[in-house]
Amino acid sequence: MNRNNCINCLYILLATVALATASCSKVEPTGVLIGHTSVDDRVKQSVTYQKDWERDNNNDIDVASPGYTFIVGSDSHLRNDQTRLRELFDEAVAKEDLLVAHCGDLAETQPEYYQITEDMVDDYRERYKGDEEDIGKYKFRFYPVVGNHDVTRNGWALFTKIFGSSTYSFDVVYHEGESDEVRDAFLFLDSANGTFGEYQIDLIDLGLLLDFFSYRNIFVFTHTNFFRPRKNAFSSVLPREELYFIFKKFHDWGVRCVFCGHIHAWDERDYAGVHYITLDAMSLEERPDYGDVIRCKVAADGNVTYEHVHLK
Amino acid sequence: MNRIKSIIFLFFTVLASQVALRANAEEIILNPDTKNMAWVYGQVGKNTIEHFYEGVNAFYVRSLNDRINVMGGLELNSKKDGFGGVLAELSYKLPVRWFDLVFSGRGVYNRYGKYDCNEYLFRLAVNAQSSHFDVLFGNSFLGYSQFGSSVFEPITWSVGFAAYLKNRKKCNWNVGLFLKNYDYFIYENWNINFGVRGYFSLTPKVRLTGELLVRPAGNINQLAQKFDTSVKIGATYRW
Repeated sequence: MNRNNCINCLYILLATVALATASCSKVEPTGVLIGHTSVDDRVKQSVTYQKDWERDNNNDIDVASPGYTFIVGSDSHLRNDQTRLRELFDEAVAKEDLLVAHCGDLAETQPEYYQITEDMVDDYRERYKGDEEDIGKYKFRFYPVVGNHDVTRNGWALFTKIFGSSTYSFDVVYHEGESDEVRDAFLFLDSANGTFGEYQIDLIDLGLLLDFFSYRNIFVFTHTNFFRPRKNAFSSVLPREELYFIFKKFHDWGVRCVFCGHIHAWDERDYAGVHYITLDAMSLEERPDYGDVIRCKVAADGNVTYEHVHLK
Repeated sequence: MNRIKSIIFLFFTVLASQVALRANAEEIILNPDTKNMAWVYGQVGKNTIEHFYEGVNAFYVRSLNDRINVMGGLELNSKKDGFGGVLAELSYKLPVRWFDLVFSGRGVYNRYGKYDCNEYLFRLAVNAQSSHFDVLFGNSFLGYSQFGSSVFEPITWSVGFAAYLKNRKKCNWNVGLFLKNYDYFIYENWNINFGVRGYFSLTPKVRLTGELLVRPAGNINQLAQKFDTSVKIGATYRW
């Protein structure tokens, strides 16, 4: 073997070692955007935060009626213009939606954009803080998950400072008399990296993210889309094995509806007994002519209908 | 137990890299004077869903003439609960001046037993092959079904690029790097996989093959995240 071949072999060896260490979670040698946090780290932090929070707070939302509405948006990509997100909040307040859910890419990852978001959310929470003694009085509730744009450039630090957790769940509970109750579960999952990650998959597989109640409805919110609304979309979904795994899991749980975004296109379909809604971007920059969100109406008998809400 | 599995996985990773360094990357290219090739490799890996998994893949290639090949393949894999899939391919090689264009039609059936999922696809592809490079482009018509529902994706591009250190037609060992969004029994949308592969001829009929395959998630339009890393070690026999 001559000298050139030896040098070439050395380069190949170094490349092989580099590739082999790609199995290490700290090395991500490819990607258009490189995050500073892995989904495993974020989920562990989220679970810890959530456990601490639940020690001192009631995680359930008690409602005065078994029927209610909630509104869902995605991909607001807030910068200096708050218009669309404020419209979403105003729409929720006007119709007294029980909660506002957001499927990620809330703001572009600059500290000043997150400051704007935090101020806006705090303002609405302060103005519509409800009344613990009167569950019929309107309270503004906002529940987001992280998207890929939320976690680039150390965005996770900003997100978790404001919202704490991106993997969490809570129940909406209607008490029928003294002993009976009706429960709907709301589950928020972190898929900003295009995978749920090993730690979160284990939590999902073991059913640890949901309490062991009999649920009337289960709603799931996450960022990455499961289907490609456009056949030629330049967008990856979850890796094959993970996609089929999570489809089965949602089917086994009897999930009513899964909400997601990311791909900036609408899609709505039923698959394996679950309703999937992929929301379009509500960002003014992306959709200057329209920005649609979706309102879900949970009837007293538990049936759910969906309504497009057009933001100006 | 996980520590033992980690050690075994690391051992195979190092072994595969060593084999790759010494050996020739094995593309199924038949020499004109061989009619048959059998290729078997074992695969061990770790991924987010299954943690550790292992499997065996086997392929048979028959050269009908100096341009037309047919291939059949079988996968057994613990991450698919045993039987993983089968494939069949017909290819036609068209020599162009500096490279060969290989047109192929491939049908694959994947069974993900653990998730009650059946996946079918038919891929049309063209691969420009030279002594040092492969550039593949194709489209898969892919469908999957679970629990009475099905999805059909008419456009799932296959793209692949490989570069080899040595002239594949003139040496008995080689090593190369590759980027692609597919493997024999995995066809992603846009998750690009990469790795290193190599081969080494023990005899004129027997070659050792090795490959290190890294499959990140979300690396085209999101944030690259570890998903699956595996090594394959095997051998081909030609007659």
